[in-house]
Amino acid sequence: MFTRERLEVLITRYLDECLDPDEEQELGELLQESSEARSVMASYLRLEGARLGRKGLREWTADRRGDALAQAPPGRMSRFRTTPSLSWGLGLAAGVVVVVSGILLLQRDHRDSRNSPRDAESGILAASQVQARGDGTGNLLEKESALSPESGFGSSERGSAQDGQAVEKDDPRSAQAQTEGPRRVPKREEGRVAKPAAKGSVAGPAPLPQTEAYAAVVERMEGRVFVVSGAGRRLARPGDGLHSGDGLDTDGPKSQAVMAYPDGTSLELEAETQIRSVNDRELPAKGKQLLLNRGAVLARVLKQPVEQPMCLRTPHGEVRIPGTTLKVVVDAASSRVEVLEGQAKLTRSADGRAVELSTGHFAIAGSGVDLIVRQSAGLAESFQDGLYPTAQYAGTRDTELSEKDPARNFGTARILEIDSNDARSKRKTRWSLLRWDLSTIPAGSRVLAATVTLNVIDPSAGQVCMVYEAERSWSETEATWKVGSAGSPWKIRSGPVGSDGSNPCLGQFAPSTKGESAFALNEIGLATVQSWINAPQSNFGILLTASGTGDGIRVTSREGVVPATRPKLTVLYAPRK
Amino acid sequence: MTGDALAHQLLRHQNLYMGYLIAMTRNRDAAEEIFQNVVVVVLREGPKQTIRDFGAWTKEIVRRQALYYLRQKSRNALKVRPTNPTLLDGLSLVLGEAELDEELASREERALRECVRKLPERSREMVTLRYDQRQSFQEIAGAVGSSELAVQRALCRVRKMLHDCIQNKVLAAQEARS
Repeated sequence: MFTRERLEVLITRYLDECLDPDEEQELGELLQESSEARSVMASYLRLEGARLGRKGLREWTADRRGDALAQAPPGRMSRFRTTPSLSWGLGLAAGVVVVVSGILLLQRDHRDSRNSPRDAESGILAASQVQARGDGTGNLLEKESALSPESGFGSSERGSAQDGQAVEKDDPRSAQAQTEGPRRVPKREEGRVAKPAAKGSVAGPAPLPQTEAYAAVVERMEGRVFVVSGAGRRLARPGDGLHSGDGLDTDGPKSQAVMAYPDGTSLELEAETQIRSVNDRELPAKGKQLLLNRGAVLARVLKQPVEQPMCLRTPHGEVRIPGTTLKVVVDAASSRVEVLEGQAKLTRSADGRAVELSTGHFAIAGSGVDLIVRQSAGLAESFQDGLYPTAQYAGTRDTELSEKDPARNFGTARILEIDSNDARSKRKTRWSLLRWDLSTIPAGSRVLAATVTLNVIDPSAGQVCMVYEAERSWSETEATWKVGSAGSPWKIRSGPVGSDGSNPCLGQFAPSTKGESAFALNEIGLATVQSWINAPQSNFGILLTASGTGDGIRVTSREGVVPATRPKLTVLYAPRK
Repeated sequence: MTGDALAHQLLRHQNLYMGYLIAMTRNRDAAEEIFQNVVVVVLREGPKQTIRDFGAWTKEIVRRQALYYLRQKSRNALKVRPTNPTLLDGLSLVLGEAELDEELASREERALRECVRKLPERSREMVTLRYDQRQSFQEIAGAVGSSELAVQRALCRVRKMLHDCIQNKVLAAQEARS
């Protein structure tokens, strides 16, 4: 089933050449399935034809009737495009069209009595004369004269602007459209709007009903950040909600903001960034939508419903984001999209060409730039024994600590187990330690995201793996439940975790199926990885612990036979400038 | 059928044919060229044959000419993304089923003129730039001081507004009559 609204959106966007391939398929299917859809389409086609074809033709015939065909205004030649192969056919066809137009005029427009049959005949004559000369220019002029929708529609009615009632008046978006684009917001106005808000006064847009859900909120901000809504711009405050259709501006070189969606997806706006139409109501509700007019955004998009990737538009293209960390930078001429982790599809609006981007790749959409996928300058680096960054990498260390075998070292085991001290494990805890050598990441790089990927042999229904930073040194071949390395006991009950167990968690891991499973480190986790890069000697890795009840979680260790099943850490970072 | 009658019929429904050709080719120049070919074929072949259903016959010529063009285009491997084949089939169905109602066509055209007059100045300006001067979205964005996407969207909106406006007027006229 389809809605009329969706159908019309597809049709209008198709006719304006801004439909992506998936949507073309959707429209095609709608048309094939529903006769109602076909009937709507037909009326749009008639409108399209009326705007572009017939009116010009008729106006030409009405304006010039029997005028010499070859007298087209010279200034309009440049607008005409044709292919040489058609010139002869065009000459003939144009002549015929003139005849047809003449006939039509005769038959339909009796009021215009000046138009005699002779005029139509002279039209034929003129056309055939030009054609007989074999004069290519003549042919072109003819076509230009006869078929260019000379004034199209709109221009002839231009004089009556005053009596024009704004059809757009009822459209709540029109006010917002007025604020779009830099020219629409004069500097003076900014100050005026911002001032009362800055003083904390109640001036500004009327509060919206509490029941209205926010599309997103301003989570953090610094400097001059504005919420742009239909009512204008107002200074933003942390916690401010963005309604559907609203925008967010970071003004000046020192301003920045973080905007978050209810599902945890976040957008970091760098300085001088302009976001508009957050989840625009006008577009059909197909997941998250927004328009990035200019500036730079780092988006951490959590996994979106398969059919509804987040859609980030820029003046130069559109990015479909299924669940990806990416950076989008928009300037006047182009938009650069760089995927730090995951996948995204960039479609250039100029010609609809699209490219698929994956981790560590970028592409630029803009005029005069080839839409080519290129590898980023080492922005995403994975660490996995035998595979990444190179097949020679062997920087992973891992072992298990078992309360049941407190003196045993598991350094060479192929499996790591994590279990809590519940009844099933007979009150015996199992922890696992993991560490990766990250020294190939240059010091000073800024960590943007980090993901741990493990191959799950046994998932657990009841156990959630909690990840902590290991804060004490340990040796893979010597560590046990009791000691970090030979002769150096953990000393405290929490083993590798330095303090009393109140340490913050770096992330959670609750695999429900066998096979590869990944979890992202949270902000604290990222800060931890950052500290490892800044000071490699502080890198003691992570400790996986279990919380909950049920069988333990078992994963493949770095001794796994197949390299791709070994523990992997992927770090996304911005190199130092 | 005489040439006059053929020409009359053809131009009566030119809007539909042009709309179809534009949708198929996504190229106004191409659509015009194809339509000219259609005119040639119709006027050359029409008087020679006994045609029962002129509308269906013309539609078929329009459709074949469009497909011929698309085949040629793909053979020349122009760097344009080909339109989805499902959609092309859908469009041809639309053409096949479209009513050739002269009265409706002329009513719609009258309505269009009235509706265009009601457009806000800014919309009309963009429409003129886009459809008369054939500027790109980017050029228009520069001219009206807006973003490319905003222009695109505004034009989509205008199209829908016009369509709704026309439908309402035609409907009102029909109701007034009955």
